[in-house]
Amino acid sequence: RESYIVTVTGDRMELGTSRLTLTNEENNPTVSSIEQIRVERLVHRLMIMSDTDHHLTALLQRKAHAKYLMGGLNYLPEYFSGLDASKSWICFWIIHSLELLDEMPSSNHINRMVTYLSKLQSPTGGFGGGPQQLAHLAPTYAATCALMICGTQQAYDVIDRESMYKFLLSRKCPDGSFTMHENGEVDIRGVYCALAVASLLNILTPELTEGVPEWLARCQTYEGGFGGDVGLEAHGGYTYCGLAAIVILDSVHLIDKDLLVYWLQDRQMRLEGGFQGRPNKLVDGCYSFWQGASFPLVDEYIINPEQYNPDDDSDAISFGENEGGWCFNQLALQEYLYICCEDDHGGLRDKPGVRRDFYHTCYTLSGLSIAQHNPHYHPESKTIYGRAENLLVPNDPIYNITPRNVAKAKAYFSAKPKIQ
Amino acid sequence: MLEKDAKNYHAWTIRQWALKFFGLWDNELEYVDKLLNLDVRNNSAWNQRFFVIESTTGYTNEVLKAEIIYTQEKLKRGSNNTSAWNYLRGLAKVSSYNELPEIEEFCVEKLESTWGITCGQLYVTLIDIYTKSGDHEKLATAIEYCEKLQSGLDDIHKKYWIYRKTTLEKLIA
Repeated sequence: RESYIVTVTGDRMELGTSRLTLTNEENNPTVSSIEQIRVERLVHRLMIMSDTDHHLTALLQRKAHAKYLMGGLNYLPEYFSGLDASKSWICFWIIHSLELLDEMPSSNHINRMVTYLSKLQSPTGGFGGGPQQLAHLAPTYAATCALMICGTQQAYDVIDRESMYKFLLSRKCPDGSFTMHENGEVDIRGVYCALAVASLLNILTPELTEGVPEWLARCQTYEGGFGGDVGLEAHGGYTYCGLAAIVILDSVHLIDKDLLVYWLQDRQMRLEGGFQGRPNKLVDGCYSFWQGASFPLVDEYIINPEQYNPDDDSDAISFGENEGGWCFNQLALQEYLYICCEDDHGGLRDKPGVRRDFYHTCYTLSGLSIAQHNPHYHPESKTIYGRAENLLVPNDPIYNITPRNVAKAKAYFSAKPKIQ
Repeated sequence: MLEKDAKNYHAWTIRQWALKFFGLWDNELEYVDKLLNLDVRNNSAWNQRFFVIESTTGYTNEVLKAEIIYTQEKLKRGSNNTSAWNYLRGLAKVSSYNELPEIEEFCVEKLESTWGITCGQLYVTLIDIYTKSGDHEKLATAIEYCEKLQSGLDDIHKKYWIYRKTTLEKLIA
C-alpha cells in the first residue's frame, strides 16, 4: 500500500522502511526470534489493514470500555472467587480505569466499594487480598489507591493509619528491603508499595526509609534496569517500582542514570510501537504503563531537570513538532494500543490474540494517559493519536492515580498528626 | 520449570536463592552455557551468567578477557542480539573500555563488515565507547553515529538519539 509506505512528517508517523520489515533472524532461529516474528506478523497485518488516516480518525471506545468496567464492578462479590487473593487489585484496576476515562461511577457504587475495601483491612494493619486474609503489601497499595480514587472522607477514614504504619514497618528488613507479607519473599514491589502508601498517608518516616535507597540501588543491573531483588534480571515492572521508590526517597543520584535511560527507551519495540518488559521478549500492552510511566520520572530527574526548577531559564531539548516531550515515541505507543489492544466489546488486552482483562485495561489506559500528556513546559501540551476526544484524564506517574486525587489525599492526610 | 519456559522470572528467582543458600555454584555456568546454546537470545541466561561470575570468581582481568571472547563468539551467531550487546557493554561497566581495548577493536573491525549496514547495536556500543573516551574526535564521530541511528537504523528510538546527540554536542562546545 503506497500511501502507508510513503508517509510525510506530520501525517501518519514517519514510518521509514525499518518499521515495515520483520526482524532478521540471521539464519539462527531460536525460540525467542520465532515468537517475536510471530507477533510481528500479526501486528504488521493489523497495521496495514488500518486506514491511512487512522492517526487522525482513531476513536477510543470510551463507552464500551466503561460498560466493561462497570460490569466488573457490579459482579465483584461473586465473579472472581478464583482470584480470591486479588479483590483489592480488581477494585483498583476498575476504578482507576474509570477515573482516567472520566466515567466515575455513582456515589452509590463508590460507597459500596469503600465498604467492600474496608472488609479487606487487617486488624493488625494493612490490607489483604480478600476478607480475613493476611495483610500483604501489594493489596495494601491497591486498596489504599482505590480508596484515594473513591476520594470521600468516608474512604479516607477507612484506613487505620497507626496500624498501617506498624504493618509497613514490620515488613522492613535490616538490609533496606521489604517482604511482601509475614514470612514472605523480598521483592522490590514491596518497597514501592510501602513507600507509595506511606507518602500518601503522611506516615513516611526516617525509621521506615533508613537504608532503603542503598538497597534499591543494588537492584540496578549491568543492563541499566532494575530486578526484583539484588542479582535478578532487569525487568519493566520492577524498574518502575525501583525508580518510583527512589524518586519518593529523592535518591536518584545513587543510581547509574544514563544507563537506566538507555535501557528504558530501548524497550520500545521497533515494529509494534508498544513496550516489552525485557530484551528479547514480547511486546505487552501493560508495559505501556510500567515502562511508559518511568519517562516523566527520568525527564524530571535525569534528562531535563532544569525545567522543573522555576528559577532556571534554560531551553529544554527539542524533539521536533508533534513528537511530544517524553523521550519515547508517544504516537507509536498510542497507535499500538488502538490497533492491537482495544477489544471491540470493551476492555483492552496485552497483544493481538490474547483475551482482554481488567489488569490490561487498567495499565494500557494508564500508559495511554502518560503518552498523551506532555511535560508542563512543552510547547504542545498534548500529543494525541486520533480524535481529540481520546484525551484521557492526566495520570500521576508515581502513584498511578489522577493528580487531582493525589493532591486531595495528600491535603487530607498532611493535616493528620505525625506518627511516632 | 525453566525447561518449559526458560525465561520464567519466578523460576529464576528461586534458582538464584537456592544457589546462594546451598552454595551449589559448581555447574551453574555450564547450565547457563547450555541455555545459551539452545537460545542465544535468552536474556535471563545472560543475566544469570553475570550473577554467577560476580558471586563466584568475580570479574578478574582474566575472566573479563575470556568473557569478551565468549560474547563475541555468541554475537557471530547473530549480530542483532540486544542481550549479548548489553552483556558486552556490561563487562566494560565492571571494568572500563580503556582496560578492555579489544572491545573497541572488535567494533571498529566489524564496521567494515555487513554489521556496519545492518547492526544498530554496533553503533550503540561505539557511541558508548566514544562518549566515555573524552576524546573530541571520537565525540564527533559519536555524534555522527547518533544521527545514523536516529535517521534509519534505530528510528523508533529517534528522540533518545536526539537527546544523546544534544548531550554530546554540549561536551564538545
